[in-house]
Amino acid sequence: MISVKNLYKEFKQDDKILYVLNGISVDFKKGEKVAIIGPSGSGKSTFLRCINALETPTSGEIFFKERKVDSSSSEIDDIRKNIGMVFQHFNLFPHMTIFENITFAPTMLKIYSPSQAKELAMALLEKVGLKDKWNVHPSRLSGGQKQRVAIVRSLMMNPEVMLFDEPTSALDPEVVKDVIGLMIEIAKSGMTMIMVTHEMSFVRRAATRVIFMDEGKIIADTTPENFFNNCENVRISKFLNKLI
Amino acid sequence: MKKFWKNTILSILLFFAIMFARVIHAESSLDEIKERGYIKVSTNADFDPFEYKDGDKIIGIDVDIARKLAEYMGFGIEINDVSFDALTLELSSGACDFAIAAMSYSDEKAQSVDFSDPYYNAKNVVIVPVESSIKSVDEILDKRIGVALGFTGDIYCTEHFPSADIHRYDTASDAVLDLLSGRIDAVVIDDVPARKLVNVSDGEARVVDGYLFEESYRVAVPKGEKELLDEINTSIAKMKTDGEIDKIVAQYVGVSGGESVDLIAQIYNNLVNKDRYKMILSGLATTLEITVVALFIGLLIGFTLALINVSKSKNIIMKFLKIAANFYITVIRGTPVVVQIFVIYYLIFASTGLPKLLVAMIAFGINSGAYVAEIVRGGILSVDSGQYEAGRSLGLSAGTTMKHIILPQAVKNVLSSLTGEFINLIKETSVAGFIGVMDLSRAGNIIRSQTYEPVVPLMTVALIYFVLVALLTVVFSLIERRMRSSDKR
Ligand SMILES: Nc1ncnc2c1ncn2[C@@H]1O[C@H](COP(=O)(O)OP(=O)(O)O)[C@@H](O)[C@H]1O
Ligand SMILES: [Mg+2]
Repeated sequence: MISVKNLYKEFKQDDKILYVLNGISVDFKKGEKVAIIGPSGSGKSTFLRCINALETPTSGEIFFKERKVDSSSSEIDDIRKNIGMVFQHFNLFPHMTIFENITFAPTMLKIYSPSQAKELAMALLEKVGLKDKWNVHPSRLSGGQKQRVAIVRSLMMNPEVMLFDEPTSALDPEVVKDVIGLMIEIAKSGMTMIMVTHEMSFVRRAATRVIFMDEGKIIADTTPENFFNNCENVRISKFLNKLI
Repeated sequence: MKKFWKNTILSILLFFAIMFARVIHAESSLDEIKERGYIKVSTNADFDPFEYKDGDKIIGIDVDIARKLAEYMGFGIEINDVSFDALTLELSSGACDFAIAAMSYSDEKAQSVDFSDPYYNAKNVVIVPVESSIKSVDEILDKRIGVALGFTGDIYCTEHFPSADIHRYDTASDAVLDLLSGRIDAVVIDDVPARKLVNVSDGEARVVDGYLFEESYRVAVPKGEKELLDEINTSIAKMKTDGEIDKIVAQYVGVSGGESVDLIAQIYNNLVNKDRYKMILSGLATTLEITVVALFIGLLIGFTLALINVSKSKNIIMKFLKIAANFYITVIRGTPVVVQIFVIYYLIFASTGLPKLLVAMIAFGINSGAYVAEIVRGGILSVDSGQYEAGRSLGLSAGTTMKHIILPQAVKNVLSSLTGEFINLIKETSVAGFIGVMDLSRAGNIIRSQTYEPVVPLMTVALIYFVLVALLTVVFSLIERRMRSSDKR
């Protein structure tokens, strides 16, 4: 469903060039739940952001169902509708109520009529246990609640694939499980998911594939069992040891 | 009296005037007047007692003379007030048949208009405090002299008294106020306003015997209108022999400003007498009109420029627009608003004939736009970039994201700066008077120039601005608080 070909990304900082992605080629199939793991600064977020063109690659190409992902093409909005994204810091719209946050885009883009959107929104809020918060602003919610709303906002678009960029790392430990629980449910529904995460228990339970990135390259691309049990790579075992 | 002190501007105006004249002028003026049945006269009602405004009525010696002239010639009359510099333009474009505004002959002006025979000889005299030791006019050559900016007294003293310390004022009455408080030693001004000024000074000022120089006031007609000029000259000659002109002058010099010593009397004289409060009210209305319209123009320009400025597009047109926007913002923020309004009025809109109120609105809108642009740009940049990304990642277009996600937050963040700009704008419109718009400040100035009492008009105007600003501040902070609390619901 998503095909990444020879992706490079550089950032110019002052007069230095920062090589963040150094030749990434990978394919993601429908229904896969891919966990992307790697040390901080290895380019995971940049890679994820390239997939929906929030970042423009220096070279290389990305295709979403045979359509080229290109931030300057007129098709990009249509492609993005099908690629949900969940951010580390939620990025809810503070000037809108929860209800407006999750219904604004689908109604604006005419994916649902207002009444359909309302029905779906209330059903999803009920599912994540936030139905009573529908008419408050995000500032009234805890981090865990905000992230669940952000996930619902993506789900409302009925995307074909969802990208998660460390969705739990800005959360207090006690609410992480609420968000993880929701993600596991989404996984069960058959959604294609690409997730940057450090929640190893979640990776073990939900991922069908693990990609380990370091210094802008894919070091390992394997199954979770292989990744956790038969790990010969020194960098990976070092990284995993640190986490435990 | 007044001379063309904005010389460069004048030459450009003349250029347009001559072009206009070529295009528009076909028929002889006199024939046109006969067909029409009345004469169109332009003046610059800014020189008490020759031509000035009482309420919205244009009155004065020149105005009465013009009426009499029309009567002698057997026509009706229509009088218009325009800026002094625009008189030449009015003549050459055929907007008026003659201009009367205490004008004297100059070679410069004679190139674009024809002058009649003199109808009045004005002597420039010297006013001093009663107790001054100055006995004759030539004793002032090394003194501190007050003049009205751009008047012939200014030109004369600058030329003839190189060692004098010349102070230039907007009006002669301002100069006399400084004279009485001892900041200057003498004031040089035409004899008619001088007599009036001394009249109302409560015996504190006197006119020195003799005069510095004399000038002849003439009527200006469009170049080459010989028939019309002859008619006017005949009528002027007749009015002189009939003693009509002396009669008119005497009428105006006799007018006293009233000797109001205590505050109550001053308040009465400055605000109630002759319905002067009406002038303040209409000035206030004008100030509000200019502010509101300018605010809308400013917001429109400001938001557009801010959006151009924050756009990430690499399109060549966008790049050009960005450079243009930045140039505009830098120039406007880097020059005083008074200079801007002059340039806009006298250069950019000179040939369009737009009413000056409209020009003022546009000028202040253009000015405000640059400030709004910077405020809004700051507001947009203050919104976390994650907001934009969240919008775009949902498939919303750049425009929709900007309009519905970024701008509402940006505006909220800079609301207090925006309202501050609005309040600033109200106060800044006070320079609209420079192009002759009768706003609140100018209403106060006109009253002051009529009563020669500065305290009440100045304080009234100040008080009105203050109340206006205070009210708006309260209203805006209420709105702001509301908007802020709405997110916490
Ligand atoms: N917009 C940017 N400009 C400059 N440098 C950036 C930008 N975004 C990311 N980087 C740099 O790229 C590197 C990789 O960042 P990122 O992809 O966020 O890593 P990760 O998500 O794996 O921690 C880091 O060194 C980061 O500082
Ligand atoms: Mg990251």
